[in-house]
Amino acid sequence: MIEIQSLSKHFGRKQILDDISFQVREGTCTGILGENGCGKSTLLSILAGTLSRDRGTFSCQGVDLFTDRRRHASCVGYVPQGTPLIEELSALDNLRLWYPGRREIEQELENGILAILGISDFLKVPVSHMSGGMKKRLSIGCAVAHHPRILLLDEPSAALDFICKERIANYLRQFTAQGGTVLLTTHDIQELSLCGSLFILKQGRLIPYEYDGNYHRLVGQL
Amino acid sequence: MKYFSLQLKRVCRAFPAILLTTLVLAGALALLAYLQALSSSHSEERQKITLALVGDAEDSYLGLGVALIQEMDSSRFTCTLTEMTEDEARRALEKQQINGYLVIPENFIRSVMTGKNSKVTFVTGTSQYTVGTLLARELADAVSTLLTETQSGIYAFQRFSIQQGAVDDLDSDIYDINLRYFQFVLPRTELYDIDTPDSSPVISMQGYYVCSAMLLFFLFLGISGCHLFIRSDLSLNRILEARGFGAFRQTIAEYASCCFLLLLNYLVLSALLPLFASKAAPAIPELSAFAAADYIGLFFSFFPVIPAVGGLLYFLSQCARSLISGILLTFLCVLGLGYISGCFYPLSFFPPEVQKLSALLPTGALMEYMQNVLLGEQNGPAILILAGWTAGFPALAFLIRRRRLSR
Repeated sequence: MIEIQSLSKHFGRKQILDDISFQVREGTCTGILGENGCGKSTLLSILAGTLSRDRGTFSCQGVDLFTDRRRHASCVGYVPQGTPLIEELSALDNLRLWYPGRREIEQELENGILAILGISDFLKVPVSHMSGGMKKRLSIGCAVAHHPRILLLDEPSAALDFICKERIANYLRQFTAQGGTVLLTTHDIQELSLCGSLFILKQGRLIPYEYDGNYHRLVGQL
Repeated sequence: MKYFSLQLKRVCRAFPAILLTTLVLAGALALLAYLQALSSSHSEERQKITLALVGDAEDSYLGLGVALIQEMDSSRFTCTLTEMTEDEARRALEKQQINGYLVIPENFIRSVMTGKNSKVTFVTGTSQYTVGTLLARELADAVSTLLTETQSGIYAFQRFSIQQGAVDDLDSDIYDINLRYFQFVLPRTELYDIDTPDSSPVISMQGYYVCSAMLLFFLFLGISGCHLFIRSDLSLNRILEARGFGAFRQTIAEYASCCFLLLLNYLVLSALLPLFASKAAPAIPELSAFAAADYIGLFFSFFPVIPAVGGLLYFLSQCARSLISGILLTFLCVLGLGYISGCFYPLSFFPPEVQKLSALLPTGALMEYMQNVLLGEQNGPAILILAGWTAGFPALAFLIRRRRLSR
């Protein structure tokens, strides 16, 4: 079980996250919804360790990952909204930064994560020449290089075409099927079907939400 | 280590384009400077008053007077006197090739000597009644005054001597007065020493500009290469930090790759060294007696320039949040620092306060260091200041990176 307890964060006078607590079952996908600027990315950034928190814990199997940085680095994979890639270099070069060696990359390209994401199609293409979908797939490929248990995805399908969305969705299904835990933020109605549980982040508070297919009701809740 | 090696790879990939951009940038600036110099010189030429001398210009005293006008600092940059016939002068005036002409009457000098001054006539077109014409009129007055008063003075002395009966050796005395006067005025180059305007009392102007050109080349690399080090999106760096590759290691890796970029360019410059040694070096006093081994020594002696300039450029790239602001910042800093440090004009042209400030700046210390290397002198305070900046810039860049990652 993954547990987030009393997580708080403020920027200046604005309380972005106000004593947030929730639990996520391992091997599931959890979605965080909310309007723009409500703090979804801040929440994921804090869980990814790229942003400091005011207080709170993030436990995986009873270990607080915020205090055990080494464990955190091995357990958590993070795909931010931006492009965590080196623009001038090819997909292969970017993968080299995260994978232990060339052999591991080749294995993954043959029948592993990178094959599912279809990265071999653009292995030699520089990031600066890639489409948004290619960049996102490569970012995911880099984020899961160390086989994390928890994958944090900040709007993974934003501005992607249907094929690319489907590819990423397939990968996430496989990831959770193998026991991995996904926590994602999204504005995409299609992605809701991937999520076993949903939360709405509003005014710094996290509220559980059950999506019943009524889009207008969801908009009203946000 | 992987991050560092990938940074090196980025630099290698971007290197040809950066080198080309730098050469184009440096070439464009050189061309601009050349055109500016050409235009200034042309406009100066246009502002110069051209006058024709018509009439009795055969007299030796008049010839000396004209020579004086052509030689004196107060007049030689502002006027040109040319001997012409009246017809030629009139035609030249119609074509606006001259501003006017002076008609010197027959036996002008003799009339001056006898106290019956004939008037010099200044002829100019009415269409040219401009500031230039007014200046030309003033000049004509000055010519008349110079010719008449100077000679009148000398001959007044001659007359006074005759009246007083002091005629012994008078001719030789008059001749001596004239000669002494002309000896003082005409060979003016012997009246003063030429002081080479540079920041060091010993380095030649050519040597000085070799140092400034080299420093400017490295600084311009910053403009064309800064895009490699400007981070508008720190996503990757944040993730790296979360994985244990913190701001310090990131800064060291990126700073080292910035130095590597400068090193690559330095190697390209060094490849041109044999050409430079055969063509340009003989004209540079400090290098004229250099052997091949000396050039190798010089190559290694200039090495400290790389980490110092690398530090400056890397620091500037870390101060910027976007590519455009980064390029603009680097461009302005490079030009500003280059100017204050005497890369464009010799430092001795600047006020003493600016010279003192320059010595403390990284580029000023670099110029001082390179000049000392070229002269084969010991580097004292310059190397300490340089070492301070070389360590200081990456340290400042690290603080900026750490602050940005913590936000």
